[in-house]
Amino acid sequence: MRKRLVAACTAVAAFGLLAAGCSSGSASSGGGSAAASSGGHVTLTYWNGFTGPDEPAVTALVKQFNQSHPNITIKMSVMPWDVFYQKLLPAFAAGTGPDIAAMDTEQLPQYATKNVFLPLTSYYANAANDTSSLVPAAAAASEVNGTQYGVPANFAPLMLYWNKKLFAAAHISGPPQNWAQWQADVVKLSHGGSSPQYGMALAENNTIAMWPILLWENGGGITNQAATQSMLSDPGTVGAVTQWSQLILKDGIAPQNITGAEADTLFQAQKAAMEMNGPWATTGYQQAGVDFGLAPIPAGPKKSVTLADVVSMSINAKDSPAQVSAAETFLTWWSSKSSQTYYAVHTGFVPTTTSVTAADLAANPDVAQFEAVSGEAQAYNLGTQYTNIETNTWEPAIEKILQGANVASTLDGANTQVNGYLGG
Amino acid sequence: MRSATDTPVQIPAAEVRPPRRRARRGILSTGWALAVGIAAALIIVFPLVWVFASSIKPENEIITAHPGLFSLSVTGSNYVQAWDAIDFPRLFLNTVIFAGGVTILSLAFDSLTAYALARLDFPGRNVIFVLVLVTLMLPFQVNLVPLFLFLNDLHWLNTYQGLILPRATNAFGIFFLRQFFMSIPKELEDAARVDGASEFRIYRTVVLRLSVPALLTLGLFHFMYNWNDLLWPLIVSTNSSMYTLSSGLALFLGQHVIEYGLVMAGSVLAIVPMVVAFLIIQRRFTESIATSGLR
Amino acid sequence: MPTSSTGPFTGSTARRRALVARVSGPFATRTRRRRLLTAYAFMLPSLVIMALFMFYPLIRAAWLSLTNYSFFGASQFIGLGNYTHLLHDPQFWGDLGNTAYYAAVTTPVSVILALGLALLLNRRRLPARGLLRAAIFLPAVVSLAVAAIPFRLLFTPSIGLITYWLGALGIHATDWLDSTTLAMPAVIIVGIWKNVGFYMVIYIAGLQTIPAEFYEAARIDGASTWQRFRLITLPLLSNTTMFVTIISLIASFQAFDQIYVMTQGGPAFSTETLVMLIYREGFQNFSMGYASAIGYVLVLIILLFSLLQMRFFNRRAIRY
Repeated sequence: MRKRLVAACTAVAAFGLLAAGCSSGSASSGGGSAAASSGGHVTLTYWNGFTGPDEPAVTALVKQFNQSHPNITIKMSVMPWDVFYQKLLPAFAAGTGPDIAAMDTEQLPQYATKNVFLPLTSYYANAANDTSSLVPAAAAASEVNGTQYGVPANFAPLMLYWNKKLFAAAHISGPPQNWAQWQADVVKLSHGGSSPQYGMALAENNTIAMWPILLWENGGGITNQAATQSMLSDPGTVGAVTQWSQLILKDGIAPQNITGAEADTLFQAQKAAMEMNGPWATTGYQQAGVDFGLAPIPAGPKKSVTLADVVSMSINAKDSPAQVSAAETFLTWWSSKSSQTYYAVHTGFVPTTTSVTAADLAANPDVAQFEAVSGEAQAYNLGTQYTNIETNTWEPAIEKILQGANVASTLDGANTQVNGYLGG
Repeated sequence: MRSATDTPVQIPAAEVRPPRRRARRGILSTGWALAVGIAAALIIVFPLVWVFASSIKPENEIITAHPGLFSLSVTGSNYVQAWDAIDFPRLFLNTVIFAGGVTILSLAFDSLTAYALARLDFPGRNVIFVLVLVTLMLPFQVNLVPLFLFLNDLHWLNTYQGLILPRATNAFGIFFLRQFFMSIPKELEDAARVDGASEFRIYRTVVLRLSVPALLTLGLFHFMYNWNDLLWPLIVSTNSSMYTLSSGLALFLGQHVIEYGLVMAGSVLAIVPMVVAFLIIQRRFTESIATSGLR
Repeated sequence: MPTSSTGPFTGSTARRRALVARVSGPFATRTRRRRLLTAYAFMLPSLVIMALFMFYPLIRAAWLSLTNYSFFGASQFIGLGNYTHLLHDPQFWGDLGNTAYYAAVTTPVSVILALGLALLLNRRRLPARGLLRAAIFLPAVVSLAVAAIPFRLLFTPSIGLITYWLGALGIHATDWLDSTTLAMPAVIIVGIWKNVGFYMVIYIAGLQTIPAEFYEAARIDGASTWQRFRLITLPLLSNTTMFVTIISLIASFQAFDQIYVMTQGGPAFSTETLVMLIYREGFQNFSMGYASAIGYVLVLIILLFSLLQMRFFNRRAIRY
C-alpha cells in the first residue's frame, strides 16, 4: 500500500509538472504590461459572461473575426456572470485584467469610476468608426457622467409576451394597450386554487428590470434618469407600487417575490398569461409549445416606455496603443451590419446598428418586432451606487411590500436610504 | 478523564433475557430497519432521480404545467449536446488531474501531520492543532482575493500547480485522521517503540496499515470535494481549457435562459464517475476491515 | 483489547524508577529535542502549504480589514473603523441571527440523523446495505450549487413537482422560497439533505473501530439494545462525534452555496448568512476591507464555538 502510494504520488507530481510545463501555462497577456505583439500581431483577451444559448453565436463571430483579421487574435474567456464580476476587479488590481470586457451597462458606472476602462471619446468622435449608426438607446446606455465607456455588444428591449391560448380561454380578444385594460386583464386571467394560474409573471429580484418599467410608465422611478436623486417617495412611484402590489396581494395576479428565472418558467409552463421579457426567450417558449404573441408594453398613464437591456464592451485603460487600436477594430467589426445580422438572427437580440433592416432579419421574425419598439427603450441606470440601490434597498423594500408591508412607509424608508447612498 | 479500562457494562442479573425470543425479534427488527432504511434512501435520492429523469426528457417537458417524474418521450439528445458543448474529455482529464493530484498529496501530507498531532508529544502541539482548525473556519470568500493576488505574484494562475498546491493539505483531513489515529490502540506502536523503531517506521508500517479504511474514506472525500468544486478552478483559470467539469457545467447557466436539459445531463455526466468511485471504495472498505487484524 | 497493564503507573517501583530516569536527565533532553524535530519533520509539508496559502492570505486579509480597501483608489488605514461599523450595522446583526438559526437547526438534526442512519445501516444482516448507504451518501457526491437547481425547481410554486403533488393531495403548499418565514426552513432542509450521508459514512467508519467483542460480552451479560448503545457505542464514538459535530457546525456557519442558488439571501434578507454578507460587501459593494472585517469576526465566532465543543468532548473522550 505504502509503496504504491509513493509511486502514485511521484507519478502525479511528475505528470503535473510536465503538464504544467507544456500546458497553456501562461496567463492571459493583458493589462498593457507585455504587449503580446510580434511583428504587428496583437493578441487580445476578451472576458464576458455569454454563457448558455448565447455562447455559440458569439464564439462563431469571434472565430470569423480572427480568421478575417490575420494580425489580430481575440482569445475569448466565457464564465458565468457572477464569477466574472468576482474576478474582474481583483484581476485588474493584479494587472492581469482582460483587454476587452463585456458588462451589463447597469454595472458599468461602478467600474468606469475606478478608471479601469478607457474613455472612448475619441473613438466615438472618429467618423470612420461609424458610431452614428448605432442604435441611440443602446449607445447612450454606456455613457457614464457624459463620457462614453463602451460599445454595445447586445441590445434588447423588453416586450409583453402574452399567451394566446389563455387569453382566448378568458375571452380576451387581444393584448392590452393601456394600463386600464392591462389591470383588468390580469385579474381575469388569474385564478387560485390548488393549481393556480397567474395573469402575469412579475419578477422583482435577480431579473431584468420589470418593476422599474411600471414605475416609469406612471411617471415615477427608482431614481431620476441622471441617478442623482431618489424618486421612491414620488407620487408616481408610490402610485404604481400601490396599484400593482395590491393586485398581487388581493387578486393574486402574480406570485409574490419570484426571480427572473422563475417568472420565465411560469410563462413557459403556461401558468402565467403574460410576461415582460427580452428576445432571448422566444426560442425556448416556442420549443415548449407556447402559443405566444408579442406586444409593446401597454402604455402607462404618464409614459409609454420599455427597458433597454444593454451589455457593452469596454477596453482596458492600461492597454498599449497597438492593443487599443486592435480592440477598436474589433468593436467596429462587431457593430457592422453583417456581424449584427448574424448575431440577431442566431440569438434573437436586436441589432445594435440601425443599418440592419427588417428584410435582413427575415430569418428570425421575432427580432423585427423587438426592433420596432427600440425607440421607446430606456436604459436602467442607477449610477455608481447600482448595487447599493438595487440589491440593498429596492429589492428588499419591494419584497417586504409584497409580503404585506405598508407601501408608503416602506418606500419612505427606502427613499431616505437611497438618498443617503447618492450623497444627499 | 474516563479511560477504556473501566468495565463498560454493569448489568444486574435480573435483566438477562432468554435467547429464543431474541432470535425472532432479530428478524423483525431487521425487517423494520430495512423499511426505515429504504424510506430514508428514497426520500434522499428523490431530487437526484428527478435530475436523471429530467436529463432524458426533451427540454419542453421539463418545465411544464403538468409535471411528472418520468416521461414517455425518452431522448438522449441532451447528453449528446452536453458532451459536445463542453469538450467533455478535456474537462474530464483536468478534473481527474486536479482532484486526483489534490487527493494523493493531501492524503500523504495530512496523515503525516495527523500522526504527529495524535501520537508525538511535543511542545506546542495543541497550539498547532488549533491553528490547523482555524484554517478550517476561514470562509473561502475572505481568503479569495489575497490568495488570488498571491498566486498572481507567483505567476501560478492558469497552471496546474496553482490549482493543486494550495489544496494539497487540508485541515479537515488532518482533523479526521488525528481523531482516527487517536482511537487506535497503542500497544502495537509501543511495542515497536520499545524495539527501537523510528517514528517514521512506526508510522509507515503500523499506523498506516491499520488506517486503511480511514484513508480510503478520506481519499474519497477529498476526491469528491475537489471533483465538485465549482468556484476555485474558475478563479484560478481564465482559460476555459483549464476548467474542470463542475466549472464547465456552470457555463450552461445562461444569464437569461437556463437550458435545463443540458444542465441536468451535464450534472449526471459529472456525478456518475463519483458514484462509481464510491461503490468501489465501499466494497474495499469492508474488505480491509476484515483483513486488518484489528478484530 | 486495551487492558490496564500497559500504563506506566502500574507495576513495580523499580519499573517506575526506571521510567522516571528515562523522562529526565541528559538522555531525556536529547530525546525531547529529537522528538520535537521528528514532529516538525512530519508536519513540514502541511505547515509550509498552510503558511503560504492559508495564513499568509489570512494575514493580508487581516491587514485589509483595517483599511477601507476597495480594489482601487486610495486605500486608507482606518484602524478598527470597520469593526465598530459592523457592531452598529443592523444588517450584520440580522445576518448573525440568521446564521445562528441555520446552525442551531442544521447541526443537531444532521448529526443525530447521521448517527441513526449509521446504526441502522451498520447491522450485519441487513440486506442491500451497501446500496442503501450509497443512496444516502449520494447527495454528498453532488456539487451543492448544481443540486440546488433541482431543489429550486421542485419547490417553485405551481409547476414544481413537489408543490404539484402536494396540490394534488389538496395541500396548498406554495411560496416556500418566496416567503420570509418558510425560505430559511427550505434552505435548511437542503443543507441537511446534502450532508447527512457524509456524516453517516464517517460514523460508520467510527462504528467499525468498535471491537465486536464488546457487544458480544455485553449481550452475554444480558444488556439491552439501548444499554449497549448508551454504554458502549456512544462513549466509544465520542471522538467521532466530536469530529462530526465540529465539522457540521463549521459547515453550518459557512453555509453559502445552496442559499446563493436558491434564494440569493432573500426574500428581504431573511436567508442571508454572514458568509453571504461577506460576499455581497466584498464582491458587489467592493468594500473588501469591511468584508474582511466581517470575515474575521465570523472566524472568531466559529473558533469560540469549536473550542467550547472540544473542551466538552475532551472531558468525555476515550483514550487508549
